[in-house]
Amino acid sequence: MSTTLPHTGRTRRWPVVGDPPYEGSRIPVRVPTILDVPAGLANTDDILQVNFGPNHPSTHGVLRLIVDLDGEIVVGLSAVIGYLHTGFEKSMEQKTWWKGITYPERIDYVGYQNNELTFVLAIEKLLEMEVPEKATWMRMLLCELNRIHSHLVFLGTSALELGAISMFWYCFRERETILDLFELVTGQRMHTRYFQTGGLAEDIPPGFFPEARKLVEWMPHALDDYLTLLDRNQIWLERTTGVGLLSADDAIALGQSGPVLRASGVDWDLRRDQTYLAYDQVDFRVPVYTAGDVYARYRVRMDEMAESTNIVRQCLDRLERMEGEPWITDDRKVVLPPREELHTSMESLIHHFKIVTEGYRVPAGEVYVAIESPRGESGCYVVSDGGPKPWRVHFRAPSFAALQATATCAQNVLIADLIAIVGSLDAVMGDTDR
Amino acid sequence: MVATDYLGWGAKGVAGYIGTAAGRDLNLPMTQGLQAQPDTKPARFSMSYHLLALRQGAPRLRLQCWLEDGEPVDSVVPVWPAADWFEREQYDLVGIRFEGHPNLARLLMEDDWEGHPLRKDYPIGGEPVRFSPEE
Repeated sequence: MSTTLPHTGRTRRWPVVGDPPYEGSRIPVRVPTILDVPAGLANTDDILQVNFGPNHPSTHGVLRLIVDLDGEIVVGLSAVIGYLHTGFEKSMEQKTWWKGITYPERIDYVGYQNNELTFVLAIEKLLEMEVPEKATWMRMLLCELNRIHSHLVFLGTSALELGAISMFWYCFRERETILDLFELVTGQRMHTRYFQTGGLAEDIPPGFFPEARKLVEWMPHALDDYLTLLDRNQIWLERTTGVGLLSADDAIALGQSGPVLRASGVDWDLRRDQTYLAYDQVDFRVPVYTAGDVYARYRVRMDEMAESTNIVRQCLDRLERMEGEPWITDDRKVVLPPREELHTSMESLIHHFKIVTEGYRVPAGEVYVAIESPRGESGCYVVSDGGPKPWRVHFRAPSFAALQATATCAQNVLIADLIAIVGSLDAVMGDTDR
Repeated sequence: MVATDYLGWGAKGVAGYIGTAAGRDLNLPMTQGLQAQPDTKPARFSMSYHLLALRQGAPRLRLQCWLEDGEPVDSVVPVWPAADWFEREQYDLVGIRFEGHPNLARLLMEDDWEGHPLRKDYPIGGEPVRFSPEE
């Protein structure tokens, strides 16, 4: 399907499925991220300007929306971000490479495992390092569990904001099970720092596979529960269908990725289209919906949870046959030597000391690595000057891009629908502000 | 979209080390010195654009332009509306000026913030703590 690009007028081919939810482009003309009050209404007494946030339970953190209201209808909107800016990129320049791995997890604190993977893959790309198969499959398993976890948080909180409080408890029940699995493997519920350069920090502990199997068997039933609670719920349907429209062209022009892009009818998933880890060796479907509304975004995430469960099952099948295989490479210049060797080998002691105090050196160069995080394309751009610390680290945050679409999605909607729209874009403020 | 400050690149040993160009400094026993000199860069700032085409094979392209301090670069917002916040972020944190951007204001830092934190000459821990007697 060939379409004409808004703003540029050029014609391009996108992998677009189905008809757009509206004709033409709705991106505001003056500034793409700011919805201006129409000239006839501006500076009249009918307009009420409301500061929505930064401290509001439905903004998923500290997002501030300056909303111009005409009665109950949103006629002007601009998003203000930066309240959670913590200077991660500057801090990472001061840390050695291996200490820096803890930072990306805290950037997107809901999709932590995926963000950690982006940075670790970037280091490995600079080092041109091969990772053992067991580590690759375990990384994939944990990333998919993390994707389910992230979508559960989205589903629970979005439904809660629209008044369906029971959904929150159901979603957090399964979320707890996933966090227990993380704790079993890594010792931490969140921000696990389990991925090391070259593989995993520890071997997979005994007892993990049966527990993970239990979750995989239970998850389809849980998803049925959610569907029964929400998908035939008249209030939920009326609050979500046809709300917050975003066409495929506008989504691409605004740099959207992940579930938001797929809900607008663009058949695009980096796991399939630019494969990494071992995603080319598992079977999964990429759910695409064409309506481009809040309901479509919810359906994409629901279907993705089912697909992720399938990927986790396939990973378990493979990993159970890899008992006893190495979980990290044997490159002693980068990887810490086994603990027991420190008492007998002088070489190991020196390597351990050097890596812990000085850090390993990464060859000079610059790379950009992108993966499909639960929120979309999570990219990491790294510059190395050959030393033990990165020269520059930058994260392409999917939430940052998603929030740029608020002004386009929220045109002439009711103020109550704005909450549904912001929830459906699923922005994590830590990711947005970094 | 990302800007990088190369101030001091390769001048003080590799990142985090105070070595000399010749190698280990005997007067400073904790220094490791340079193992390899990184390539020199054409200007102080690099501005990188990571582009992706949504089609088979997902071809990616990195465009890089080099700028001296204070040198502006044309905004790409008229071509790609998605660049709006990305350009504002780089303006805010690195201080690159984008000519033709419709709304070039600070994005992450406060509106009255002085300096650009991701520049290499921006001090670490030197800024006053807000709402403290020292401010």
